[in-house]
Amino acid sequence: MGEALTWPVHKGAIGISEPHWLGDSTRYLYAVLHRAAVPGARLGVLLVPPLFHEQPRSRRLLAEVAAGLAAAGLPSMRFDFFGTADSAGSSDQLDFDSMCLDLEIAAKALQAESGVAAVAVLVWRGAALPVARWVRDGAAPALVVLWEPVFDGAQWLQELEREDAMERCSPDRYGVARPLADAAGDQQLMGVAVSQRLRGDIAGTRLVDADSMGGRRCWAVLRPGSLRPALALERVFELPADAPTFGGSTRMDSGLFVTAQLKRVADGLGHALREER
Amino acid sequence: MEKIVQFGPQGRLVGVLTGASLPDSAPVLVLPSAGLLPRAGPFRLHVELARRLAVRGIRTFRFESPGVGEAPRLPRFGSREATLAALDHLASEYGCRQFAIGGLCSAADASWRAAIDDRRVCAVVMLDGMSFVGPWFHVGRLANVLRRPARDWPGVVRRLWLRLRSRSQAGSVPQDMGDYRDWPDRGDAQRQFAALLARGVYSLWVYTGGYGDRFLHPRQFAWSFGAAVQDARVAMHYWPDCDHTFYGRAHRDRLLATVEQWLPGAFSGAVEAKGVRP
Repeated sequence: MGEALTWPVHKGAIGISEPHWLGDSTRYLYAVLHRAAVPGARLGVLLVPPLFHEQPRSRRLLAEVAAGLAAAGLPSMRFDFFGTADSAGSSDQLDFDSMCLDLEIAAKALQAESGVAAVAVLVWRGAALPVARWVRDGAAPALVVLWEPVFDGAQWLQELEREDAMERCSPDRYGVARPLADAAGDQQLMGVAVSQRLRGDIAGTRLVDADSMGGRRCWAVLRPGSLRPALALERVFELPADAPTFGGSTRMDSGLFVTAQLKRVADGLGHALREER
Repeated sequence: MEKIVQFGPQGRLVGVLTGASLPDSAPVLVLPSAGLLPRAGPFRLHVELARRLAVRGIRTFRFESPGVGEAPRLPRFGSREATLAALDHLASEYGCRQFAIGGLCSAADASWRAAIDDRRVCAVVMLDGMSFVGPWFHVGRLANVLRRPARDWPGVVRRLWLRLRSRSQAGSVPQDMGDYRDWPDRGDAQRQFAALLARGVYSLWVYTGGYGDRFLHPRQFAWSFGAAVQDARVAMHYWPDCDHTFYGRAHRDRLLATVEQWLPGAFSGAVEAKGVRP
């Protein structure tokens, strides 16, 4: 166990957002707290990033949504799972056990630093699967908001594996020269080392009914016409036609951000969360 | 443990310093963000490189340029200003005196500009950086066509015809990738290259197969930058089997090993140029 990390004193916050480490000196997580613009919020929002190649593509999107929630009066925290982005660890150390630990650390930190009574989790895409494990294991967020969630882990894993196989020999990526011979033994999936344990965790998780989310209250942000899960969703926010799409590209110029129409949806979500009692 | 560093106007930019516990005398590699990718780099390349270099006594500072990832857009403050501000902050707050700067694509461009602007920079790492299309580019293109199986040639001819037709319809030469990048013209690039060498700056250049719009033959390097590339402080590698962002684990490992082996010598002034002689 490493040295416990206390809340650092920075020379000046970025606007009203504060980057810092969570955890301890041997297992630290990068996190950013977006302090609320107005006081009195009962609820804080923990933004849970998508997994694998979708995480770096959506960093700006999550930062903009978090800033919008804070402007609406909701203290919000973003973080990177252990083994991803700026957090400690390597990607092959990522699995549902580690992610559940990270969720617990981040949720407690949000409450401790913002003073809110309860935490809602805003969960992007494949992160819905480890969050489902987290709540079934006893975590009690006040609300789970699923943003374009992945419902079937096994199906999603197969899609990713197909996509990865195409990327490994893509003429767009590799031009004329032949890429390296298929290196399926390198444990890489969409450019990231993914352990067999994590693959098993993903493949073994499906969101099929209310019990899948441990009976917790659920809202969702969904694309029009998308398959609705059998989860009991109290509210659904519909994404606009120009909402950035996840999945697919790993190109370096394909970052996601909040469009004008998406901002209206995000603002509506923020207003609804602010009204929660 | 790494250190979060806030710098720039009102401390609004954020970077991560790896090797923060190393002494002030330890040199530092500065890695601006590339394209729209966050500071961790393509497939976390910057993070892995930073941790490897820390073991060798080299600090690394990775950050996001304004408007990228979580970094706010700042008026009249772009990647060039952010890079110079990073150098200044590292010097004043962490005692850094010896800098290398590097990166992929647009980050390579920012690194080149910073090296021109700031005499504290003693090395640059240019991944798919500046390059100029010339006779060797076309030789490379022809060689690639001839390497294709004969059944592909009708498709090649068709695509060439469509390209020529769109040029004639547009009435102008199609835009070149250089139009989207912040590059000097070839003459200025050669003068800058020579000037950096005269100052003692080392440079490592890696061109990949994913950069086929700009680089298709190793002899383009000398054509682009002149006789100065023969200097022992210049190392160039051409890896046609790699893509632009090093998607494959083996390709990233190759790049990490190359930089890790080259950089200590660049800082100590004892490097022996490796790579393909242009």
